[in-house]
Amino acid sequence: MCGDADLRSRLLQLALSFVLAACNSQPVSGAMTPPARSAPSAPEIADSAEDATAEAVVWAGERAVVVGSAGAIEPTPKRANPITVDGARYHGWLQAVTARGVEWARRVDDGREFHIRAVAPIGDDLVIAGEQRAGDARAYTGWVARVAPGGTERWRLDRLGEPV
Amino acid sequence: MTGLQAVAVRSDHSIVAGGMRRGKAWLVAIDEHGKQRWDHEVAGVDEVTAAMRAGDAIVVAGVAGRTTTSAGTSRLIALDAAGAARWTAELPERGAGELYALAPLGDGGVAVGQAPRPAGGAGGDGAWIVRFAADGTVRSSEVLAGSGGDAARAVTAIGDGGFVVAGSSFEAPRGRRAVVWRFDASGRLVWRETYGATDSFARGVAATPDGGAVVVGATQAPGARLRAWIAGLDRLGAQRWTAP
Repeated sequence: MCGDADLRSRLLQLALSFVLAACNSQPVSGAMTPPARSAPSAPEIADSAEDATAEAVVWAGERAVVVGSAGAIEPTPKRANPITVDGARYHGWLQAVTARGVEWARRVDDGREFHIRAVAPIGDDLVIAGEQRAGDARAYTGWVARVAPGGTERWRLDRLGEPV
Repeated sequence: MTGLQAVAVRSDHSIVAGGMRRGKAWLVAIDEHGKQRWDHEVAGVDEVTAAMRAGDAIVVAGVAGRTTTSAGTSRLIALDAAGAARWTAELPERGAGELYALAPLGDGGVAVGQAPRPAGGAGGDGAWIVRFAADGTVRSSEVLAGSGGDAARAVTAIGDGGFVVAGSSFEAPRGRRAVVWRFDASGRLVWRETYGATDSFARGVAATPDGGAVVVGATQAPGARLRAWIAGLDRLGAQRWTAP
């Protein structure tokens, strides 16, 4: 009898833990800002063969959000004109950190070169800005994006300043 | 070269980003939903290097006349909602100096950068600290004493009216190291600390609610890749944590 009671108790605890876990995973809603997709997992901001630099930081809520760029100069692609084309490949990154460690991180890797240079708070969100390579040629354009808490983009304006 | 390296947000959540477009200083205004309102070039500077909100205006810093062998000069420009200039301050009064970052203070702001030390001072450039009033009047302009090659790259206001500046300095025999300067509300230097291993520098700083700061940049060991560097400091400059 004691064994059955103990087993029932453990099963009850297990069921309760599943219920609590499900409750804790429910999204909090009610924000007045546009909806954002669910937060991504936390990737490494740079690979071991890349250079990484933190460019700027803001304090947001209870954490620091750091932005920067990482990448490397790879050999010029075959048959490319080395005067106008190089092998630079960089991505931007965001990382939320506290004294306890990294809360979340996100890579922005949409082209041959993508740099995040600045960040500022906009309500509970962040706005970030920088430059990116416009195709293979050594021509750059500006970009600005709004990022939700957790690192997901709400919108981004690309190719700002592109010749018309 | 085209790109954006500064961004500020107005009280209505509209956004102003600044940088350079094909060799000319450039500003872009965007609403909070991502719709571009206007963009135009900025007279008097070649590149916008920093931006901050100041009441209902945006103040930007810009650099002009930079060459491969010499530093340029700087301007602070306050802009209204349409991007028109309310006031302009030309800096420094004499010689060269480049401003890279801005932070609002209670009744104006502070701009920081790098400038040659005055004749008679120690050799090399120094961290340049400019405090200005809400109407653009320059209250103080000082190139800090240091070990040589100092540069201030970031600044943040802190709750007691003071501010924290982050940058780098060359210190023999260790080379470039990250530096943080803490100033009180009167602009007096309270402390200066260096951080990181050989060849480290700071690019950003943010105040924390407990009176400390988070400083970010990069560090590079000999023969290794450049690694991002993130450190939490207490109010006295002691390093409490690093990440990741």
